[in-house]
This record gives sequence, C-alpha cells and structure tokens, in this order.
Amino acid sequence: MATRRSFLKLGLAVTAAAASGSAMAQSKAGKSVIFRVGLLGDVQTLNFWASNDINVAVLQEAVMPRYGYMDADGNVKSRLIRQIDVKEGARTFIVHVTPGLKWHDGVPFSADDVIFTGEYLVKHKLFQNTRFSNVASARKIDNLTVEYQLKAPQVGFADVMLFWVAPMPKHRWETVADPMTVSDDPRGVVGLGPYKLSEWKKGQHYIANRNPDWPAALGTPAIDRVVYRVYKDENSIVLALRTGEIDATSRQFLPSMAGQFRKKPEFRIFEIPSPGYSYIGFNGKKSEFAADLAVRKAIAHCVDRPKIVKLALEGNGVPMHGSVSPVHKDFVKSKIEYPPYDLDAAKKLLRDAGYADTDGDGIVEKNGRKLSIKMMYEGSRNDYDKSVRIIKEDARKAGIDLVLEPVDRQVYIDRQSKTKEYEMLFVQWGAIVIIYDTFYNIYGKDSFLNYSGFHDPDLEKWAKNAKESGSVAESVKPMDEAQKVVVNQIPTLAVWVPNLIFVNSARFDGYLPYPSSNNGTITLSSLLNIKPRK
Amino acid sequence: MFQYIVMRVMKGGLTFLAAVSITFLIVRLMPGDPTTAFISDSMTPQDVQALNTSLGLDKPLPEQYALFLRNLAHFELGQSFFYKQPVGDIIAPRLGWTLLLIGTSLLITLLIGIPLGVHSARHKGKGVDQAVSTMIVLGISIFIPLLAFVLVYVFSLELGLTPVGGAFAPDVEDSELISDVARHMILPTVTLVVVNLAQIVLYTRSSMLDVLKEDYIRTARAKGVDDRGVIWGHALRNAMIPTVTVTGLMLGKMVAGAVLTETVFSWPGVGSMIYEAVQKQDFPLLQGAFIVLAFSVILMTLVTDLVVAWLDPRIKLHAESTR
Amino acid sequence: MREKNFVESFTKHRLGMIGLAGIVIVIALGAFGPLIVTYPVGYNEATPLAAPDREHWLGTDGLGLGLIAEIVWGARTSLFISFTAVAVATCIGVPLGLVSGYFKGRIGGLIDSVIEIAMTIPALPLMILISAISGPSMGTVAVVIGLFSWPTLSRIVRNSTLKLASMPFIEAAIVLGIPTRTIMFKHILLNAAGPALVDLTIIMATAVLTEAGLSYLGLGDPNAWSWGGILQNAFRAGQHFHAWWLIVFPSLAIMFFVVSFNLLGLGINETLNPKRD
Repeated sequence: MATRRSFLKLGLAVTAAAASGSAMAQSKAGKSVIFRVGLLGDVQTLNFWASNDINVAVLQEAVMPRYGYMDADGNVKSRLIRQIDVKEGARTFIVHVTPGLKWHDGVPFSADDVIFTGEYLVKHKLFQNTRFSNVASARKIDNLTVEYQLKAPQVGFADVMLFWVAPMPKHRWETVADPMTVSDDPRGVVGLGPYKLSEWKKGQHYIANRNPDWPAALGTPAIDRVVYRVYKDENSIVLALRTGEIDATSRQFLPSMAGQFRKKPEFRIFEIPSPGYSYIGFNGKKSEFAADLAVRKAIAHCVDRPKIVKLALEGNGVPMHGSVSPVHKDFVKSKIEYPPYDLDAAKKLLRDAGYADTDGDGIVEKNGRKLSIKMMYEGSRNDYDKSVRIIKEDARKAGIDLVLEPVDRQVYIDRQSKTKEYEMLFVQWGAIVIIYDTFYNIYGKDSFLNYSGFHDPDLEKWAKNAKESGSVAESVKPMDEAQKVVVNQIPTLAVWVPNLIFVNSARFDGYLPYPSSNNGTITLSSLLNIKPRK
Repeated sequence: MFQYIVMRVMKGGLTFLAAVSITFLIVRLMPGDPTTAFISDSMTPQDVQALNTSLGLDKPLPEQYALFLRNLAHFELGQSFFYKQPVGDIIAPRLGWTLLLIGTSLLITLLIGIPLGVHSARHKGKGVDQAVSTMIVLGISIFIPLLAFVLVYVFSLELGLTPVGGAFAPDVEDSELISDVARHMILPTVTLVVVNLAQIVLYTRSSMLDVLKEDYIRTARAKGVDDRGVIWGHALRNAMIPTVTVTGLMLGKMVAGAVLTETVFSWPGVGSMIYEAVQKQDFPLLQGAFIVLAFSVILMTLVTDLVVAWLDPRIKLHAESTR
Repeated sequence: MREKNFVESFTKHRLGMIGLAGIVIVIALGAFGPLIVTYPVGYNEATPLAAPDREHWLGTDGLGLGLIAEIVWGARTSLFISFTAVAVATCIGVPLGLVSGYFKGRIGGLIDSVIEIAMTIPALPLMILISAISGPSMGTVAVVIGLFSWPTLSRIVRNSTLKLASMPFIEAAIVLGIPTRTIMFKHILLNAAGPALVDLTIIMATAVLTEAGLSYLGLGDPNAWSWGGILQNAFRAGQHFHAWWLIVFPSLAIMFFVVSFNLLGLGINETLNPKRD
C-alpha cells in the first residue's frame, strides 16, 4: 500500500511539472513569431549541395534558397538572380545577380559566386551538376553580371538553372577539396536566405532565425524564427499537427491521413498537383514480350486510370492520359493520348499479333511461351502496390500475366539504374518541371533518365529539337511530334499525377501553395508571405 | 569473489566477441556479393576502391576478420551511407537517450514489479493473485506499436496531457529542460514498463513462493518475527536473486522493445535510428547500432551479475569450491 | 500412466483449456479457412474501405478486399512462422540442452557458456540486420526467429536433464548397460518434455509478435498476407485514423493467438508443478 501511494505521488509530481512546462512554453511564444515545421526523419546533411534529400530541400528554402522558383501559373521566376537575357538563338545567356544580397557571414553575393557554383558542382559531380553539362564557358562581365556560352542551343537553360540550382559561397567552398564528405561545416552554416541556421541538434531539431541583412525588396518575412522538429514516424507527425505541436510539415499527407483534418477550423488544407507522375517502364532488352510493341499496346489498353486513381490514391490525383503531365498546360493542348482502357481491344491486338490461349488457363501464349512479364516496384510504397495490383488484375483479364516483384529501395535503385535487371517497372518521377528540356533527358539516346535505353530516331529528333528551340513557344511543335511517338511506341506508360496534400495550422495565414514543388506550403515564397492570424 | 568477478568479465568479453563475429559473418556470408551491402549508389569507383581497402574485402576471410576487430578496437564502425559520417559519431549522442529510457523504465518496472510479485505470492490463489496472473499473460501478449499508438491517441490527442514525440521541445529554456524531458518520457516509459512488468512480477512471485517454503523462514516465523518482517527482511533478499538474474536476461528484450517504442514516440535514441537506417538501407549504421547495443546489454548484464553476487553469499563459496 | 494423469489434470485447468481451444480455432482457421475463403487478390471497385456490415463481416481494405479473407490467410502465415521457428529452435536447442545436461563436465560447461552467450545478445537488432541485408521474405523471417529462440529452450532442457540424470531410474539404466543414446532420447527427453513444452508455447507466441514487429519496421514479406502486414499497410496508408477495423481485427487476431499459446503454456506449467498454486 505504502509503495503504491508514493508512486502515485511521484506520478502527480511529474504531471504537475508537465503542466507547468507547457504553460511556460506558451507564454514564451508570445514574444516573437515562431513557426514550427515537422520533418519526417532527420536532415541528411547541412551541406546542401551534396544531397537531394527532401528534408534538406525544406531547410534550404529558408536558409539557402535556389536562384528562382516556379509560380502558381507554372512560370519560372527569378529571385537571387534579377534577370537572365537570352541571346543568339539560345546559345548565350547574360545573368544579372540581384544586388544587395549578403552571405550570412557578411560577404556580398557576387558574379564570382555564380561562376564558382557551376564550375564546382561539375568538378565534384555534386547534385544538379548536370544542369551545367551544356555550358562551354562562363565569363564575368562585372561584379553582378555573368555571361554563359553554351555548346548547343538550349532554351531551357535559364529556367533550369533558376529552378534547380542554389548558389554556393565561393569564399567558403573554394578550399574544400572533397565536398561529398563534408556534412556540416564546423565554422557554421553559411547561407544566403532570409533565415540563418542558428542552432541544431542532429536527429532532434534545427532552428533558423531571421536574417536582418535580407533585402526588403525581396520581401520581409513576418516570422521571426522557424523551428524544424524531427519526427520518426508518420503517425506522430500527424498527431503533432493535431495537438498544435507544429504548424506545418515537410511531408505531403496521404488522403486517409488528411481526412481527419477536414472540417476542422484549426487547419487549412492545400491540395497541389505534384510536379511528378507515375509510369510503367518497359525494358525490351530483358524481355521479348516487353520488346513487342503489340504487347506494350495491349498493356496500355489494360490501364484504367480513373479506377486506379480512385482506389490506389483514394481519389486524390489526376489520371494522366498522355506522356506530358497536365500540369504543363501549354504542352497538353493537343491532347496526344495513350491507347485508352479497352480490354477487348487489348485481346484483339494480342490475337492479331499471334498470341492465343492454347492451354485454357486464361493466359495467352506465342511460340510455346506464356505471355508473362515481371513488374518491379518499390514494395514499401502503398500507392505503387495498390496501383500495380489493379493493373495486374485487369491485364490478366486480357490474357497477360504480370508477375509482381516488390523489392526494397536499395535493390530497386540498383536494378533500375545500374544492372538494368528488370522487365517492367512501376515508379514515379519526383519532379519533371521544365518539360521541354527534360523530355530529351528521358527519351534521348543514352540520356541519363532513359533507364531502358529505348531508342527511336523520330523521338530522338523531335525531343532534341524541343530542347534546342529558340524560345519556349517554338518548342511546343516539336514537343507535340515527340509526344505522338511516345504514345505510339510506348517506351513508358504514364498512369497518374498525384495531388500533394499539405495540412497547415490555421493560426497562420498567407500560405502560398505552389505546384511544382515538393515542399508544399513551406517554400521560400510561402515563408515570406505567412503571417500570424489575429 | 575476485575470481568470480574476473570470470564474469571474461565471459562478458567472450559474449561481445561472439556478437561482433556474428555480424562479421552475416554481412560476408550472405548470398550475393558481400560488398554490395556496404556500397551505395552514390559512391564513385574510387570510393568503392577505398572502401574495399579499408574493409580488406580484397583479402582472405581471416585477414578481413583481423582487420574488422582492429577497426573495432579503435572504435571505427565505418561510414554511414546516408549521413556520410562515421557511424560512431552518429550513434554516440543517441546512446545516452536510449540508456536513459531503458534505465528509467527498468527502475520503475522493478519498483512496481517486486512489491506486486511479493504481494501476489503472499496472497497466493486469492483474487489479487489471479488478477496478477491474468495481467502477466496479457502483458506478454501486447504488440508494442499498438499499445504505444493507443497511449498517444488517448493521452496526447484526446486529453492533451503529454507531448506526441521527441525528447524535449526545441525552444525549451535550460532551466526547464529536466521537467520537459520528464514530460516527453512519460508515455514511452509507460509502454516499456507495461510490456516488461509481467516478467519481473512472474519471477519475483515464483521465487518468493520457493523461498517462503525454506526452513529458515519457518524458523524465523516460529521465533515470532512478524509476517511483514519475515517477508521484507528475510525472504525478499533471497527472492531477489532470480529476479535480478532475470532482469539481466531481460535487457536484450528491453532493447527490442525500445526499438519499436522509440520509433512510435520519435525518441532520439539508437532504436528509432535503427528504424530510419532500415528505411534508408543504411547497413553500416545498422551494423554499428547492433554492436553498440550488444555492448551496452552485455555491460549491463555484467552489472546485474555482480549485484547477484553481492546478494547471494553462496556464490562466493561456489566460486572458491570450483577452483 | 503419467501421460494419462497429466491429461486428466490438465483438462481441469480452466485457463489452459481455454488456451488450447484458442489454438485449435487458429489451426482450424489456417487449415480449413482457405478452403472457404478465396485468396484475396486484385481489387473490388465497389467497396473500398467499407465498414463491417452484413456483407463484409470485418470490413474491407483500401482496395475493397474483405478483411476476413486477409485475416484467414494471415493465420496461415502466423502458423507457418511460429511452427518453423519452433522447429528450428527445437533442432538446435534440445540436443544442445540434452548433451550439456547429461555429460556435465567440460562439454556441458562449454555448451552452457554458449547458451548463456546466445541469451545475452540482443536478438531483435540482429534480426533486423539480417532481414535488411537478405531482403524481406517469410521464410527468412521464420528461420531467423527460430535461430534466436533456442537458448531459453536449451537452458530449460539442460536443467531438467541435470535433475533427471542423477535420479535412481537413470542410474539403474546405466548399470543395466542400456545405450547412452536410448537413455538420453527415450528416458530423459520424455521426462524433460513437459517444461520444454511450456517454453515452446512461449516461442510460438513470441514468434508471431516478432513477425508483427518486423513487419511494422518494414521488413515483412510483401507477397504474403500476415497480420502484422495488414496492420503495417493500414499504418502506412494512414487509414487507421478512420478505418478502425483495419487495426482492431488484425490486432485482435494477434492477441488471440499469443494469449492462447501463453495460456496453454500456463496450463501445462501449472499442471506439471501443481505445488506452485
């Protein structure tokens, strides 16, 4: 009895301490405006250029932003760079640096940094180095101006650089010989953004305070301090948002998880079309069936996109009928689409190509070989898993046996990019933003995103034409021609564009939900615009 | 006594050697290329070459083993794929959090479990005892993530009494740090106590029942020592021996529980790091986490062994008679 | 004689009998359930995430598949994993325990040290390492769980053997010149079977919990229906906040299985050692 009572006392004491702790935390928040962001998993590194980790990207928005951004209409805008002039049929680019910017250690941001960034990324093969692969030379005109000469015309060069590249402080990095192994600079993190990373505990939290040197012309933030908090588990991040421990998350919500926030006045929900999309890839080099155009077309007839969106994404996405995501409005006007869902058409195609079910098991054969293809995907992705199970079921009705191969991430990447040991795959592009430029990277001969090495001379020609057009408007025509080849030859088969759902606390106002960013409502533009609601 | 301690320490060392040898063999004898587990896609061919040299993968197995042990002796656990930092640097700050959580849970488990076991032994067969038996069976049948989720749902979300996750609020003042950590520790501790309590109660109860039948207890009773004095003064010290022994054996299980508990509560320890390492397929980090956890468990087992030796005067005699 | 007495007094142990009944139900579910309920494949467009009703007794998952079928087929996985684990643990643990208990001396001491070492090594992190490296598969998970369950079993067999080996009827058998193998496997093992059986029930229960734990960490077999896997799917899709049936029923199934085996263990234990209660 005595023990029980004293334990109870201990419990009460702990609870009392807990209650007073939370009260204190609230009174403190009154002084300055603090915005709390939940991260799922830790930030990989504070060396922003050596990572494509999503949490690094989120931190980067506040501390070390990229040159520009894409606005709600899908147009790339500049920020750290004031303007880029395109000359000589997209062979020469004049870059004007925004004046008045200072690195967090007080050194002014200049043309030297811009030149250094491109050269250093390429030299050390850091992330985004491929954005500069077409550069022949970079020349400093004055302290705030750089001239780029390209090897071949590339109209997208300006947008690609603005959207993807964050500048590097030359004075900090020129002495670093092996940047991939640098995790965080012991001298402190030097960025250029409106927030300075002031304190962090790996695996727990990162705190960024307002940078007083940030030029007012680029927008003055209302938030004094952004606190990033690390959570390990998807559920705890949802619960933390619900209890008000955080105001936003870096993580888009699954529809089922977002459901509980609807109809609650304390939350704002934003649904943003993803810059990426899911697709089926065929590898004709590993499967005779995947090499057979009739089979690829038949499989295209088995993909019921609205149904897959409804079941696998719980309705939270858009069926993607063509090879360009509907996010790119200018490039989908001509409605060039894959063969539609039609199981009878699939059966007829197979029959005409000499496939027949001779043993009565419902699966067709040709030359004594059963039409069976293995489809590899990342098994831990619930949306992939559901999508492929639906496609498999419908393909079976048409007489095609799709054997599902869920694998873990490591194996997946290894087989997709290195060994190419796969017959079919199901995966999602993270972000395809500047489509007229990227199309060639996906379908061009020997391009780095063309995993199966598919080659078609027409596709090669048109995709290259689009990339090398003199202006964006001029690229629409070759893009249309390229799309026609893709939907006829089907090297890849797009399935859906997911909506990214972001849930934010209604204690703040002014969130800017930009598409084309996986960082949702905590992009730099949004952070500059968010203010506490009175 | 001294001999006993030396023997225990040697046994601990041997256990650790066995643990690290198993990991060495697992990584190298797995089907497929043994090197792939340590090579990630972000490495250049030069990196791979350097890694092969540092692990000695181009040398015969015994030589690799010697190199592996030598690296270990210098606390070199390799380089994390994901963080691109030495594994030891990543684990070190997290180990303290795991030990704090496990230590606190263990202490509370013993503080509740031993009196409960004694109480249930004294009232053998009665309502209390039966309730305890049922509790034991349920306790060892609980699936930790579910229990943890229910706790968060009720206490954090519905009642708003406890934080959802982490070890402390990021912007907490130093003066409030301890109370804030205590607040964050409540739910993970409760989870671990609930799942481990059963074992302690079970062993205390059954060893108490055994001890109560011993002659010297009967003698004490016959001499007129009151019941409470017999139980707490004479019997408990002896009944504690199997309980402490089982505590040592439970440590491995507590670590297992901590992996799941830390994950649900985002506790910044080694356990939640294991979960992340699994997600990111960071094998060097996983291997390092196992080695460090094995070392901690073995060390703590050693401590419980010494406590048993202190509790049990017979060990002294036994150790001397076997030599 | 002994067996008959044991069965008779076990049938009087109420909790033990409840446990046994529970196990019979699970085994029947695993053996005959799949004959009635078809393997859940594909999708059912009409009924995603339907709450339990007359048509779908336990509700449906995100693809509209009936949870009842998933749980029935999951019973098979749980049984497969627990029986495989027990088989592996028995094959290693029983001979080692017998030998170390019967021969005592140096061999016995050596084996005992091995058992103690194996007991101290934290199993779950090591299982995680193995599963992560070898890739998720039901067979691997089952064998790995077995490989880490034998030490307690071994210790129990050893202790019983130590006690039995010094009993008069064994000493008599040795004097009579009965071969050592016969003594060990017939006389001693039969008599040591009781306590070992208790541990086997605990291994079975723990195996299912461990499989669920590994599934929760993302190391389950994505190609097989398992209770831990259903839970993990629901957690991962975030459906557990509103589709309560997706976590309640698989959790109940796990609890039912584990409690049944633990109760059976309790029953056997208390029947063998009636003095304890």
